[in-house]
Amino acid sequence: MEYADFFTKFISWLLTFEKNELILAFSAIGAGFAMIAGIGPGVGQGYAAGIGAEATGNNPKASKQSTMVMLLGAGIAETSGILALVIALILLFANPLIALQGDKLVLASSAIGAGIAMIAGMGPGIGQGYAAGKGCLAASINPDGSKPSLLVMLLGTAVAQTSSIFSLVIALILMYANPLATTEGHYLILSASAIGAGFAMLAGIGPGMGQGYAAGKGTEAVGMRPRLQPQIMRTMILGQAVAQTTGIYGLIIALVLLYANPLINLL
Amino acid sequence: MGSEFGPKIIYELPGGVVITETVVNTWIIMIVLIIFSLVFTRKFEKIPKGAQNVVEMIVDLVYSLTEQVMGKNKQGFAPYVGTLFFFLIFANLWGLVGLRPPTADVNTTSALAIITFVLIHFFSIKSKGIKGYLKGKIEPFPLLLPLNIIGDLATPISLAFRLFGNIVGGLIIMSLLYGALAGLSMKIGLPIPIFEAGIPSIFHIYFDVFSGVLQSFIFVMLTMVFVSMEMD
Repeated sequence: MEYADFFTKFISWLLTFEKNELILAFSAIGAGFAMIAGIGPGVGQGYAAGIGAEATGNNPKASKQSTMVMLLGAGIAETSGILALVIALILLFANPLIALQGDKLVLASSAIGAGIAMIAGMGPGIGQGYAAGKGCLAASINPDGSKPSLLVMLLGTAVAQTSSIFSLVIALILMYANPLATTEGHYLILSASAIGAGFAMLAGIGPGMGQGYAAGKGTEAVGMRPRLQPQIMRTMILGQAVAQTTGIYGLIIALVLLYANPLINLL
Repeated sequence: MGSEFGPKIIYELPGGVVITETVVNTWIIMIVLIIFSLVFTRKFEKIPKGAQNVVEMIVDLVYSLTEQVMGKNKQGFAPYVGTLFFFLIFANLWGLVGLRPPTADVNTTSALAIITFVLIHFFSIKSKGIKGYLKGKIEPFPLLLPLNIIGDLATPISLAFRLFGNIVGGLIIMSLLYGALAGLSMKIGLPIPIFEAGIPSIFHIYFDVFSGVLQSFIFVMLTMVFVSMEMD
């Protein structure tokens, strides 16, 4: 039982620190975790930029239009990175956890949980970037009929954003209205639940990428046949709603861990 | 939202009801929009001239957008769509005049999302009948009922927080940037805070203009799509 011994020692070592010191230390880790989300927008925008270059090469006449669509799509793909940046900046410059009442280990773990939750922004970033690329391609192939495809791209990417929005909700709950901090006792379980809630939100990576793929394909299809826009958009949004399901499972588990933790009653 | 980035409380009514910055700014936007609509819709003539041209163009635009997205038989939604769009545009760009955008408060965005939620389900029942509406909840098969309900509830949440997250994110980054620039000019010892003059404008273009206009558009579009999808 060497490991168990190490773990107890580690926890009791952590508990020797003062409340604020522990929270600030864990906030540093949380801020770092949150910024991992930057992988997504990076990949996605790179893809969009590549398609943009290709589109300009294929149809130089429409390069102005396709570049505009690419930049617009890349701007949208940036959103989840910015949301992660906001959480990291709040943890660094205006840490709300210090002012909260509650057990120090729980609050400190909440900082890590909030950071981990924001990693889910990776998915939407990649997906929206893919959609931006397809929108750019559609604008280059058919510059006159690019308006309907642009509309589909905007809507599709907005839906693909959902998972990182859910992560933001969980991160904000952990930081500003932490229900675990007001619960009494079983601090180890509560701290682990805060981190677990963050991990549950990582499921959002999948829906973000998948919905972005759907948005890209929908944009492409509308670009080719603008008249079918209503039907294509309908199928796309219905499919995206189904693709959201597993992300919503993650959200539910996170909310259960935070608000109706069944593990406490087992003891 | 908590202390530092939350809206300031301007006045507290007896009974614990607080009047925040958000409420006051919403009132100002309401007054501006009402005055606009009163002034510009006076003395309409058959052959339009001057401001009437612009007003007609805007109304035409809203109607054609509604028709394009929702279908010809649902043009009755256009007045709400237009109102929502102009309110959101004003609210999201409110940061440009140095005031706090009302949409940086989760209460405002939730209220708008709840209106959309009610619209979705009211018009779904109205067009399909209560039987058809309930039947739609157990499709494609009955086991999916809880999932359908959760999906329905997730729609307003994601609508509200998409808008709120974008606007409040921009607000927080901008206020941190202003703080950092002020600190920089103080450190160098400049009597005039010269850094705060030009540099933030680039960030305002992205965080206020780009994401503000885009998020208004997306909120309105998603409202239209969700309502019309549930209707047929």
